Amino acid sequence: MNEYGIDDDTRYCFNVEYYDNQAELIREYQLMFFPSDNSIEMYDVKQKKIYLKRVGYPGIQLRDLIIGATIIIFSRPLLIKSYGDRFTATKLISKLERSLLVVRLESNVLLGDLFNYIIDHGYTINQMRLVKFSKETAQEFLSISYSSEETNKYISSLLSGLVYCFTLMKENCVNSLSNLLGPEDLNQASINYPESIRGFFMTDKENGFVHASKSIPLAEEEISFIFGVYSNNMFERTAKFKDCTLALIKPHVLKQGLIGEIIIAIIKGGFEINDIQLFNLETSNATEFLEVYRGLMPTFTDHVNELISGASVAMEISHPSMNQEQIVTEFRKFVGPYEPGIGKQIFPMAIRSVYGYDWVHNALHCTDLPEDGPMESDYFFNILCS
Amino acid sequence: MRFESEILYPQKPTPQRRGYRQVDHIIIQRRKDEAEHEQMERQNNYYKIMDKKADFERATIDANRRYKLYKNYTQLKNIRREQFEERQKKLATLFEQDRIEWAKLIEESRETVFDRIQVMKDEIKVLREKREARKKKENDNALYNLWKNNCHEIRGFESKLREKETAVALEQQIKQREIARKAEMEYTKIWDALAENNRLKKIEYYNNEEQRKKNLGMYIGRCLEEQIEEINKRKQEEERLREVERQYDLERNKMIELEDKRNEMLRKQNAVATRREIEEFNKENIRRKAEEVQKELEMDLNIINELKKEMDNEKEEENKRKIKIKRDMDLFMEHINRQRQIEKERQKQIDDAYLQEYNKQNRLLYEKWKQEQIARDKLMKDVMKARQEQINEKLENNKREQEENRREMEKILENIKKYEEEKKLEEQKNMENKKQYSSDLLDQINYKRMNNEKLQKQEEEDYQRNLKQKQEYDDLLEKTKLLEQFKTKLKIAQIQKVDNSHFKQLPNPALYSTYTQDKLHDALLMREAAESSNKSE
Repeated sequence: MNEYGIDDDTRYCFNVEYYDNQAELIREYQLMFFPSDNSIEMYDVKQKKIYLKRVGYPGIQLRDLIIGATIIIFSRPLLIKSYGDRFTATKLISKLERSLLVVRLESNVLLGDLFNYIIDHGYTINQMRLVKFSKETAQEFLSISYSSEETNKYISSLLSGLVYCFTLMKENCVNSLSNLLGPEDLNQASINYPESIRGFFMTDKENGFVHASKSIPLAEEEISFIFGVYSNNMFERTAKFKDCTLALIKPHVLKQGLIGEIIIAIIKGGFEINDIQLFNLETSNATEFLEVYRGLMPTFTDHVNELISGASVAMEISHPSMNQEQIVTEFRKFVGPYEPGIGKQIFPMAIRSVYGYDWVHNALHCTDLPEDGPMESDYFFNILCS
Repeated sequence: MRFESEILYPQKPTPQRRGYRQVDHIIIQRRKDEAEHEQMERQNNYYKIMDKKADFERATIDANRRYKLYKNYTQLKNIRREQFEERQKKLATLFEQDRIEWAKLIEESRETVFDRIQVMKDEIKVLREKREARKKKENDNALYNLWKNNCHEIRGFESKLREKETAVALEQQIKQREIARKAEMEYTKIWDALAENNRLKKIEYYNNEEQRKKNLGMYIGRCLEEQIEEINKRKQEEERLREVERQYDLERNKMIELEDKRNEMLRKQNAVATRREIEEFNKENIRRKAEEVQKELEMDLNIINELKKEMDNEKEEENKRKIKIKRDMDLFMEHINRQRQIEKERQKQIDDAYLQEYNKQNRLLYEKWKQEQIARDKLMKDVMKARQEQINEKLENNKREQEENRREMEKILENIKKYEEEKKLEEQKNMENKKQYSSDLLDQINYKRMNNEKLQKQEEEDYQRNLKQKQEYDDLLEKTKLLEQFKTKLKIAQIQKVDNSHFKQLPNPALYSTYTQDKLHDALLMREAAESSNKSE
């Protein structure tokens, strides 16, 4: 039995889709996953025959098999559409309880620690973004789960500082997250419960604000408020689209749980994170974004596959004392060569050298040309969001 | 100015009137209609043309717009493509530059021979420094030791300190040894207790096992006894069954006899009964008839007697008639007698007829009886047969049971045999186990004894060694004291500058073969050095 309470004979079934580029067809399969030996099997639904015989595939874990996620099996991106049978649905649906966590930080110094804290406590980050509340939106958001008095009390803290919103996923997520918050009195939290979120991250005792969903329906409502269809029109973006560069943390880093470390490294390097959001890129988006590198990289499709293999985090980076050209070139130098093998020889302490292991899995993508900085930032924080 | 329609459709020239003709209204009307129709057609055509024109104009405008859009689009696309290509080029150059730069950096970071030599030199330098420091430290230590050894006061003091230390150490050693001995004692005690406990447990286990075996044996004995009882019972049962068989045989014979007897008796009875019945029937009949006739006759006689009496009474009166009447009477009597005979004959006839009838009835009855008897016999036979079959069956069962009995007895006997064999084997095994266990115990005891002996020996040896060491230590102390004295004397001699060559002869050098030899050697060196310094002076 492992963390998911798996028996030896357990078999999970998922309905998956594969877009065949050559035939320009969407093909449907059933993907069987056997957690006892981490093996997979694929069944062609239309032709009614086995497409892939049962074979061990250590690259895939049960936690990767989430509805809506894309997994790459033998270099084919498969989009998980739904659960294939009732057993899988009943077994896994309880693991997908979601909750919203809103943390208002004074500065982004503790952002990396916040990521580490969340990952260390076993939560999966489903959605994440930096939110700039207006007075109306703040009032509307707070009125979902707070009374009018409390809304008036907390509204000022939401209007200033940096407010990071996370959609977290875990079994019994709502309860465990509310237990993690700590007492509401911030002074008491910092003295008696230094391990809680309030105790650890609330440096500003007066304006500090941490919120976690109080129940599952409220959580869904809040998540749809912050990350829903109208969210982009409601919230103003904090991205400046000027004198900036884009850093895109690749999915393999998120899978390894090292995103916090990378953010800490960037902030320690003196850079500022203007805007941050978690994206689940589709093949078309990833291809469009990396189109300029086609022909320049020998492993272009691998790059695309890596970007669509999971969630990636986009950040708009700037520096108070640097112009457009400087920020791009400096940040490029800061993260190190795009080939970690070379980086380990000449800049062993650069981010890519430390956290990357080959050209495709080189921890993060950053803007290469100075004039591309605002354009790439615009692509992520304007075009993709809308 | 002419309309387009006029150009396209020119008016036909009106025909010239050739001469006066009478007005035909119908024709005029028709012409009018035709003219109107033509006019309308012309107008229609005009509208159609105008529509086509408008369509054409619209299509051209659309096409122009589309063309412009396409132009703009292609222009933009081209610009974008150019930009894209430019970006790609820039990126390619950037990557190239990066590659060159990295290659340079890698090249720079690669170690050359000179770098290696330099690094090695540095390492040598560091190592040399370390070595020198170590040597220096060693020299200092040696010098310090030399100085310390030469200084008698310090040495005396140190020796005293050492003495004290050794005394303390010895005391500690003794104490530790005592503690160790105690600990060992405790340890052995614990182990002994454990062993004793184990032994007791083992004994208890063996006792329990023996008890269990005994119980088992008893149980098996009881079982065997029960089995023997069972066998006896079976035997008794067999005998009983035999007896029953015999009885059945006897019963059968008796039944046959009884049947015969009954048949005989029945026959006899039938005969007697028929005889008796016939007799009784005849007798009765005759008697009854006779009686009846007699009664009638008596009645007749009585009547005649009465009449006679009456006649007697009227004798006188009827003298005359008497004779007549007498005659009549005689005649009547004769008639009566005749009648009597006739009656008797008739009775005989009746009896005969009756007998015939009776015989007939009798025959029928006998036949019926016979039939019934045959039926009864048949029934009796069936009953007897069934009974016989039952008896046979029972006999067969009996035989079967006897066989089973025999088989079970054989089985039981086999079991008993087997059990006895097993018991024998188990006893043998037990005996072997016990033997082995006793031999093991003996081995253990021997081993323990040997160990004890060894320990004792070792303790004795230790004691002897300790004694020896102590003695050696005392000797050494004496020697060192002697040496001290010798050295003081030497020093005094040095100070007094007295010829001290006679000190070269040391007392027996074999005594200094211990660890003090080194120190002594040092002392000798010192002396030689002192001598040489004296000489140089």
